[in-house]
Amino acid sequence: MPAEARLLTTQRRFFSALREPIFGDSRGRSELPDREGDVSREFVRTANELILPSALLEPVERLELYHRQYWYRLLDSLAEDFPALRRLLGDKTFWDVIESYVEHVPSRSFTLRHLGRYLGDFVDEHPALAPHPLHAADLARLEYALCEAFEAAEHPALPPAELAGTRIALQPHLRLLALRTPVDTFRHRVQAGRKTAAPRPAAQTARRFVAVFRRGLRLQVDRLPRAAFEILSAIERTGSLDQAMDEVARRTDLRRLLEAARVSAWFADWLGRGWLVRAPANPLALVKEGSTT
Amino acid sequence: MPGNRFNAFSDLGIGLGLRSVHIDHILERKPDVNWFEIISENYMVDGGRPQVVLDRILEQYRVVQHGVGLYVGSAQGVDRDHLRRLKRLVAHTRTPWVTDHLCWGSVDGTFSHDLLPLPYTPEAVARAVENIRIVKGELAVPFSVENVSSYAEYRDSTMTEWEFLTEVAEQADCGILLDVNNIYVSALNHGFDPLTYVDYVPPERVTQIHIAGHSRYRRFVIDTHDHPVIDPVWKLYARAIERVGPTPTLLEWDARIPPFEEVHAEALKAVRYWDHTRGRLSHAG
Repeated sequence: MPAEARLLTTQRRFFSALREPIFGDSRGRSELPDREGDVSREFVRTANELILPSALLEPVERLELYHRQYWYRLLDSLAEDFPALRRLLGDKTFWDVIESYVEHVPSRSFTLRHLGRYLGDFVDEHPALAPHPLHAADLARLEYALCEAFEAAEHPALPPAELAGTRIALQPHLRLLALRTPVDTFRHRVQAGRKTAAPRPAAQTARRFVAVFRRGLRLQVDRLPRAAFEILSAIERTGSLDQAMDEVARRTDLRRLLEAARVSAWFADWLGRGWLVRAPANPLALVKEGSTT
Repeated sequence: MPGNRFNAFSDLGIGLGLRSVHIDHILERKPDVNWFEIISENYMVDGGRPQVVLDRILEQYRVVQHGVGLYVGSAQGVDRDHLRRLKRLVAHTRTPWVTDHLCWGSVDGTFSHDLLPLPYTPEAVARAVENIRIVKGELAVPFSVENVSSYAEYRDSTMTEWEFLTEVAEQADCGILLDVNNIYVSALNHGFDPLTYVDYVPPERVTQIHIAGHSRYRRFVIDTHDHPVIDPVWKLYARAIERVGPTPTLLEWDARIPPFEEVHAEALKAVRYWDHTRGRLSHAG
């Protein structure tokens, strides 16, 4: 085998072992619920073929030290980023969900801050994992949007005189979410340290539209009227006020929700909050940060 | 302080790792600290609190960047996007040098977020050297690699860790961030004499020294950075200072972090070894 290929093979085999699920004693020093089982034959073979024994540890035990570190580090990071989801699901279900998530969706970014990016999608695709899957998926998206808003750039607000005729974009730390359940209220109560009632079954038709953003350094979640959400979403897609308004006006389901007076007030509010900015000259800069890894 | 070309002949003295639990204290009380080491990846952001905090720290303190994600031992090369982000941050912080670990941690675009050990082979030397040369070519400041603590040794290894570290540093012509706690942890896990390691490393390449605490279990030791520095690690530090001379030194305390003053006092204990070495040097002169 060529030398370089040997190093790569070693690293692939080692990493593949790290990604195996953890069972039995390896879970003992964590909050993870019990899970019977043992590492695979392949894990043992990898350990024995790659690693030397020490005076006190067998190769498989040495590899297990890294194996545990891998899992604990990733799961602890998710637990830190999704405190309201943990409250919603309860500890046992929460650990089960995120463990399953990491098994299926490993980290593809240099930073653990991006690890939860697909957690909402994952819960939607695996509804049997959570007792309230719609709430759980919505809450995962909301908490991840907060993580993104925490560290996103803030560009100078668009001067009101430039609103028409300028290529515009949304403030990079502004995230728009269409939620199927009232998890923004749930999350607010968790954050305030208040008691949280068990969620009711979600009514699919009653969507809530929210903006997640920073005000100074503080994170904020505000509800939006549906038409306001659609206009902002259209601005995000088109980068143009005219195109966005045309797009929204063509939608018959939105026409009755659009009143000139309210739309003017919305724009005044958004400009005041700095939610609208000049579109960057480089179109790649329009890609939300964090999506480049 | 002698200094060398890998630490820009600097006289930074004793520093501390910048940790989020201490930031309010630091910004309010402005303690007299020579320099702070930041984890580069924590500040590779576009805005928000991390950037604001970093800028306020930069107004008052010298900052040195230490990374955990370059993975110069990766068989698939260094991530060019990561390097670009690092370069941007270097320009912003004006760090006098940059360090990261001699390890690997990702494969096929998937990340372990760990500092995984390398087999000590000529092939791994060649790969690391090639990667470090790329890093050096991009950065406008000197680059050094840190020895990691490890819990496993590869059957493939054909040299000791200290021979491997030295070979990489010399072939790549980079500096060494010597972590004496990591040497101690690995020595206990693998059964070698840590002094042999410290005595082998070329002193003229040592940019900076790390000290830290660790956790000792019945059959192994883990590098947890959650305790004060223990005496055997201070002894290794003393030996390193004796060989290298007073060198920028950084205390790492990353878990179960006590109040700022306690961490600072622990770090300042290092000065006594400097004074001791200076005294011996002046007597010899």
